[in-house]
Amino acid sequence: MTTAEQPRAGDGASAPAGRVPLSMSGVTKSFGAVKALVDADFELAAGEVHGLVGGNGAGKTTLMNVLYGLYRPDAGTIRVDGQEVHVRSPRDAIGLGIGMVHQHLLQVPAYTVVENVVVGTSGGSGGLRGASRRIAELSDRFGLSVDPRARTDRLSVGARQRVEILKVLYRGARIVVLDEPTTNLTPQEVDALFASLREIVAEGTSVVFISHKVREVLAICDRISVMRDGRRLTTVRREETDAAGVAGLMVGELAAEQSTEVAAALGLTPVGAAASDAPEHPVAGSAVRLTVSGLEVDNDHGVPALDGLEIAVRSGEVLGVAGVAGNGQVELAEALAGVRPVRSGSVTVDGTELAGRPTQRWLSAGVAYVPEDRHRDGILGAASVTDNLLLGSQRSSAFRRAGLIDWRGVREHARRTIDRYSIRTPGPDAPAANLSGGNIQRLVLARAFEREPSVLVLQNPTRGLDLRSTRFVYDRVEEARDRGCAVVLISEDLDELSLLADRMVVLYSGQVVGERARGDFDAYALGRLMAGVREDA
Amino acid sequence: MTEFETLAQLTVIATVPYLLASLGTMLGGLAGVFSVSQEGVMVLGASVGFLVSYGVGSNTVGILCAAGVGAVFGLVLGWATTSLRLDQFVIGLALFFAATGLAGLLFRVVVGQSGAQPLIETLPRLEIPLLSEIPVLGTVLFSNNLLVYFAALVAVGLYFFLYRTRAGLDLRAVGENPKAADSLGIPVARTRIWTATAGGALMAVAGAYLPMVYTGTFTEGIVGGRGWLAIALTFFGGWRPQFIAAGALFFAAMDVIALRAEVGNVAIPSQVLLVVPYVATLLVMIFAFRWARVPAFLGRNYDRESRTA
Repeated sequence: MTTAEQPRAGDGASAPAGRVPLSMSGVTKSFGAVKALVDADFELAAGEVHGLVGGNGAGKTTLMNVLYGLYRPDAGTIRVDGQEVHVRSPRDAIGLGIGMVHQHLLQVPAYTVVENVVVGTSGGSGGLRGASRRIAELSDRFGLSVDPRARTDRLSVGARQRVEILKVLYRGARIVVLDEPTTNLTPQEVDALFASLREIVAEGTSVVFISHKVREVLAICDRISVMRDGRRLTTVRREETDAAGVAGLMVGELAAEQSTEVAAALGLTPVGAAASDAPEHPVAGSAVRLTVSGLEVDNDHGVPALDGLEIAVRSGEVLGVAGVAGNGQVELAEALAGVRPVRSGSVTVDGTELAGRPTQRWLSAGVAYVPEDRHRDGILGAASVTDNLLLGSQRSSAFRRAGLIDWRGVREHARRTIDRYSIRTPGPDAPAANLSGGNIQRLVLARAFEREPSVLVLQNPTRGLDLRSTRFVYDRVEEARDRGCAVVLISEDLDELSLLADRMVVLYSGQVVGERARGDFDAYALGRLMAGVREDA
Repeated sequence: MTEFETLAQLTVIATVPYLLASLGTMLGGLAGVFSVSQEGVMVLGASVGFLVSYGVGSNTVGILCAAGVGAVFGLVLGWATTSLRLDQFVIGLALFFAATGLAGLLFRVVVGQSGAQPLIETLPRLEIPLLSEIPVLGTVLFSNNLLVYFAALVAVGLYFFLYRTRAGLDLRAVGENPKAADSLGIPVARTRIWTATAGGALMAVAGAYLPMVYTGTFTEGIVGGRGWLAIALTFFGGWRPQFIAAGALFFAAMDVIALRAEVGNVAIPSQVLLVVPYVATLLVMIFAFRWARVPAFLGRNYDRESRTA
């Protein structure tokens, strides 16, 4: 389903003839010293789904936030239906028929669906009952099924996503911006969303679809604009391009080396194909660095999450941990990093027992951790990049002088690290949360690697990252492995695991239910294990 | 009048300052502005209310002037925490000190150090026709001073406004998720500023009530911690007018019983009873925090372009 429709009039680069609902030109926006948008332009045709793609920090979301009045641009003009407009706030944007569905759902969890939809439209005629009817009507027309009286926090992410779209349609938007709407959706929900989008544009509304998932953009969009470094690079028609073409434009110079890694990161090659290409990495003879035996750990609610887990990882080995989310991955990662209490069992690193010891001991034993939720667990958002790079090493003698922190040394170290890991930041003193997702991950990795870890624990390290940052993470992991580090890579991405792991175990319901060596990574067999079908059963 | 009727009526009278101050706290809080200057604004309201009605000879003018001064303090809190994005707690504490100091200063400047303690008329009892003739209820509920009826009206009015109108829905969205509210065109800063302003006015009226109903004069310790208790009461009431009203009655009843014990001959020493409201508050705070819903963005400022939040 949901392939592109028939070509419209006009060539790929310029908008189709006729009404131009939206054009933006010369838009520039800086955050401190970081130039998020540099003379960016954008044009939208009536009744099209227009893909806006690019890596992290390319400026896609910033450009649309400017359109929606959330960011005030430093320069630039916006025209709606050919008329120059000034959008100073979302209120102006809504008045102009612009609606935006943000990446993070902007809802009041304690409100019902109707309440969330009508909030802000006060003065609208009729009570909530009338609004309920209109919502039901819109739901029907666009296939966005949701119960108007349900409390929003009781809904699935997919349903909450539909509420966001209903909010926009309820306000009569003719330009609908969707910022990475598929991030938390199941494949079925993505299909349903695409079907709804087709209904929406069929009535003359235009949709801007922000994404960095090439496959989805190709499936739904009529035209695709590629952004890089804060400007629009080019616009292509769907039928004039393919996955490799779009990916190439997104990554720029990396396009030259259209390697297996890039393809695998895109999910363009099936599981196994990447594995067979990659050279075998000899680890059999090296020493075991990390041993986990009989590990039992509880989750946040005190319910057992790991049930007698056993793994061992050798020096220079990458152990992949596959599995469907919620089978103990978070607990395993945190237990191995020493930040979650071990109820029973043992974790040894280079022969030293660490279970039950303070986190500081785990750090000094050489355990480094790259958490899944880097914003929450990886950084102190309001603290500077320098502080974040120091974190965890603050007691190390390298950064101490006369018993106090040697700030000159710390700053020097931060500058070097920012340079070496190409962390894009306004400066060493900028708050870490101001960096883009990819750069926050670089920061977290830099901190982990500067400690020369003996055991490295990573969970979903490339989630939400663009190709270039993904590639960066992979390179660093391989580097650590080559240096003799024992790597535990916990991921839900089989492509990623197939690419990096020397050995894969499958986690199901807190236990290892199967193990596969490199060269034997069969997607279907792994899928069965992930679903809980035991090998010996 | 039976002993029960007397106690019940005293309780109703004692409820008013708690109720008004808590409703004021709630109003700003539901939009995300968390005031901690209640105690100070109440003392200031008592001082201004007393001095104006002493000077002009009208309690109504006194109440209105107190409300105006309280509104100014609320406005400053709202403006400093939205337009200037200063820390709510720090500004709230600063306003508490400023208001407390100003209250004492005004009294000393106007009244001077003269020996005679000036007095004003306390608020008269207004018997509502017909309703006040109902046995027991009539005495307890319908023959009270004007501010008792006013406080009840404010509670009921706020309930309908906040939970039964679209404007109330918008207002609460600002305290629950200002970013969502902003993205839907709801003016976050304006909402926060006006609710903080109205909240400040209510707190000051709560303060002005004390000299006008109880003492007929102003002393610096007149509020006696009711402002701080109002914060606890707002949490206790789960930031909803109906539960806050119930909580205010409970706090007031504790006050009245403790006072009775002091003058009457109850077996329990009055000191023990005087401690009851505080112990009750402590218990309530411990348990209320488990179930009470607090506005998600209570006390947190909102910055549209910030990427730190």
